[in-house]
Amino acid sequence: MSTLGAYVVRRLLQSIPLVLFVMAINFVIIHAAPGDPITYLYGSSADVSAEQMQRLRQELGLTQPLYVQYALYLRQLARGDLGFSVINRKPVLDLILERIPATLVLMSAAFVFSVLVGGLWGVISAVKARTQIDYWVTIASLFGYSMPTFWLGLILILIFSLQLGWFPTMGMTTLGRERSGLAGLADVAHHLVLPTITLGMFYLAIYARLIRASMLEVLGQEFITTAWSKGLPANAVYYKHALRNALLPVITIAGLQIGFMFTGAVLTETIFAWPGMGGLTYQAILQRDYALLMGLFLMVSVCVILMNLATDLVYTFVDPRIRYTAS
Amino acid sequence: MRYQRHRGGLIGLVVVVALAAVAILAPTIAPYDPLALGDVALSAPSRDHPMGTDHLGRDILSSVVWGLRVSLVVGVGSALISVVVGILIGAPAGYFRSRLDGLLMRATDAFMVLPTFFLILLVASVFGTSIGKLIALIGITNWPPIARLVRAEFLSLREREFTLAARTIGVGHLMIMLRHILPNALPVVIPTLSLRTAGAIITEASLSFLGVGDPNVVSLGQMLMYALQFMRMAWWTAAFPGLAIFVVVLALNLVGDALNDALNPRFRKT
Repeated sequence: MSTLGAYVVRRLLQSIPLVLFVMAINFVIIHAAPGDPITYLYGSSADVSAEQMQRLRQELGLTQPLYVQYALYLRQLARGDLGFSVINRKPVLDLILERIPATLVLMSAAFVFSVLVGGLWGVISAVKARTQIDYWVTIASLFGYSMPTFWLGLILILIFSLQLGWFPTMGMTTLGRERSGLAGLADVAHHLVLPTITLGMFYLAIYARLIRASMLEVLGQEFITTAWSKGLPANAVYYKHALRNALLPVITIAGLQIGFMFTGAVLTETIFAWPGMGGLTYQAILQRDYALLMGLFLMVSVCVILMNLATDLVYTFVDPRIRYTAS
Repeated sequence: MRYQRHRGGLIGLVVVVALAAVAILAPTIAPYDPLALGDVALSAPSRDHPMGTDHLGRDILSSVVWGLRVSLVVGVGSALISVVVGILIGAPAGYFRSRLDGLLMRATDAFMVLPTFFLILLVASVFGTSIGKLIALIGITNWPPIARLVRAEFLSLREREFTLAARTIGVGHLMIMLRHILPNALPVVIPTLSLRTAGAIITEASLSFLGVGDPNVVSLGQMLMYALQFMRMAWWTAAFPGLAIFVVVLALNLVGDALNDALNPRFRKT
């Protein structure tokens, strides 16, 4: 346990330079932007009085050398101050925090959907390798892989909302008819179906391809031959022996992909008016709310770094061959 | 060549060549000026307008043809930048190894975890966009996987006899890297060019869809941005521009996969 603890601490420490790197990027952008950072971050003088601007300038230490400014910027971030969105009249951190739950709901749903369905496709494809089924699954995953997220969303709305009327076109709940308890949950689930498919399709295709390749590799190994010759039933060989081992490389990819899922979330939430961070990003772009955009970039980066960390830790648990003591 | 045995790759290649021809010949192929306002807004596909018209009465087919041109220019341009940067970082890392390798790979890992799409969004909104800026931005944010690939290839090729032979007769490092190792590493690099072009086309379309593309040119993503408002009345505004992106990306992915199969027997899927 102590070695594991040490490993966790070491990996956490390794993440710090990454976070500082992201913060430096933000800082450089603020200062490379044309004009005064204050007018940039807080709008023209029409929105903020000259007095306030002067105070902000002093607070940010804009008269001091750059490295002092960077230090001040870091101190500000360390206090949880990601800046202030003048347009929304709220601190950036508050704006982001209130939008995180909806994004988490959407991303988790899409993740589960893509892993389960993609995994199933991949396994079927590998077990039935070089058959008609395999052929069609491969084609289907290539299609899913090449489909632009936002176009898929639009097409799903066209067919399943506008034509068939099965699912709502936007939002997370039915406006004006908010319900609580089970009915409310069902309402959210109903709204969640199309966004989940939209966001999950790309990853579904990736996992299907990955698991197929990984399963085929495992199925060729000697312990599988042993399992067959022991007379184990096919299901036991495929699921108890092969799939377990085939899933290992998938975890690494899944960890990386969860981070990049934020990109898909921005597009999906924009299309379905989902009240999460993605929708907030779109709003920030439209309103030219740079303070908010920078806060979002920072928060998403931190999330991605944490996800990668979590993946590494999960990996050490699932694969006992990995020793976390070595360099 | 093994490429020919790959039916998907062949189909992809034909489609890519055809679409590239359409993009190059856009000025003569497009039936209308893509920016010219027409008489009838949101008219359904007809003989005059095979893909219908948009909310300003512009011919969608013409916009798709011109948009394809922008997509391909941005895609190929930024893919080339990514590949060149990837080689510039990956080659010395793999060839010289040692501390330089550690340093360059650290940097690569750092860039790899960056949510590049958000970074592009941020930079594009703060500094404004043009086609050139988009190409540069997408290009310089997507080199890390290529750098890793190139590094791995250089790591193994530097140990081969021909490299040793070149070194013994006194060929300089730069010459060995350029003349001897790089040509042998190209089979790994070429498929990524096709796959990266596909990825860059999606990125550009996504940016335009969110309203941070170049506002002065017709782009497929931008058309879909407007379609989001008008597709309730006019499905064709959403269907055709997206279909164009899908087909070009699918074709490029097919070509990339086939090239990987043909050029890198090691990576071949069983």
